[in-house]
Amino acid sequence: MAETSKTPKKKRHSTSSTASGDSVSKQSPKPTALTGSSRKIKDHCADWHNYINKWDSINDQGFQLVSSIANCKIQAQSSEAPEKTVNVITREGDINNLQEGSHKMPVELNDYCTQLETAYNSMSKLVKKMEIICTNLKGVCDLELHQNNGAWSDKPLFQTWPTKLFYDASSELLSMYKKELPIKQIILQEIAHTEDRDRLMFYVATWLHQPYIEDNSKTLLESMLVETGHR
Amino acid sequence: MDITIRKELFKALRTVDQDDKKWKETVDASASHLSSMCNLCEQLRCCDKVNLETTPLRSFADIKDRLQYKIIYSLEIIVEKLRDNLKLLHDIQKRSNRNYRQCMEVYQSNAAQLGIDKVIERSATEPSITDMLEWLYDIDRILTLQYAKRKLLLDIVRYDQDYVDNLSKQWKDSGDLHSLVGNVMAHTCFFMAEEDDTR
Repeated sequence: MAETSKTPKKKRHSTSSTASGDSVSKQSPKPTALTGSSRKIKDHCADWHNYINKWDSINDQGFQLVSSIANCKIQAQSSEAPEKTVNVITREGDINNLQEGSHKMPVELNDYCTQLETAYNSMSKLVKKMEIICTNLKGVCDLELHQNNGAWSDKPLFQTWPTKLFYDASSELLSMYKKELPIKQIILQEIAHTEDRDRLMFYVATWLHQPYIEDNSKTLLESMLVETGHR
Repeated sequence: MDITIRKELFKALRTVDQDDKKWKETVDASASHLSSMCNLCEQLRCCDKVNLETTPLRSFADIKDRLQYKIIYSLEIIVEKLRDNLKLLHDIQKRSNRNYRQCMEVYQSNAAQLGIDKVIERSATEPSITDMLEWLYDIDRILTLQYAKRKLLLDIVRYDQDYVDNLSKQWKDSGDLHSLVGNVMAHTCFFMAEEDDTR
């Protein structure tokens, strides 16, 4: 398959990203539009941008929710018990009665937990989409090796990056988000049942700061976008 | 000759009033950073206190280290923003110092011709030249102390709750600066109006 060896300065192609949320700006196709492997890689770089933006947005919403849950718990401990007793959703729709000896919780805690679960589910779907990107990029790499008898192509598809680098960068990003997701799940499951104030703050901070999303994630993403001409 | 010194005093006092407002704005603009800093220190304290082995996150052995790194990184970003604000305060302090020195230079070069009687002469509507020079000196001194206080607080910053609470309190406190400037502007309002009319 014939590919352009350099990324043209003003490549235009239609939006192919399937992610919800804000999109990298796409422009209408022109006769010199990318095709084949370079098209796939460029689209997936746009997908990464959209998915990470969406993740960040959900993370911010989630932070508001975990903060609210933590505040409810702290206030319930320090103030008199409210008039109503509520059932608490633990996971996957199971409803448990409050355990014996626990504090009575404000009514809105239920809603916060439900919304947090929705946020977590959205994040989980994003990680699955990220996995698909990596699988597809692996396929692009395998194709290139097949076409060149087990060797990498001499000419980069865009500016300087060999094709494998896109897969490596994607794998590194995926690894970060896959490590972060179970932490979000544990916080979702535990925060409404935590009584200790320090532990509550620890969960809130962990949700906010995302310890396994490393500093270089932004650099990796921007590098991919610059290389493919999105920036 | 006293026209020259009056002109310099007018310029200096006009700048004093503007700079007092800028100082207040800059200190007020730091409030959100200070609040964030307090929150982050609280998070750091809680992270330190939590026994990871008693939480479901125990399987993530390095999570505390990673979280502490992220919180400290955020704290350092805030400290940099405070340093930017400190630079603005320093500019104000340098300007005040420059104005005072300029006025003193003009006064000293004309003091002999003016004579002591003229220099200490005050009226019902206008303070004396020495009064105004003294006020400019007082303002410069307060600004220097206030800037040095904040600089020291940032130079020896520690990310523990007590220190950051104290830093926040000290940063917001500008002492007698605003009341002094208010008094000075009140006492010189007729002088300023007259000088403004003659310009």
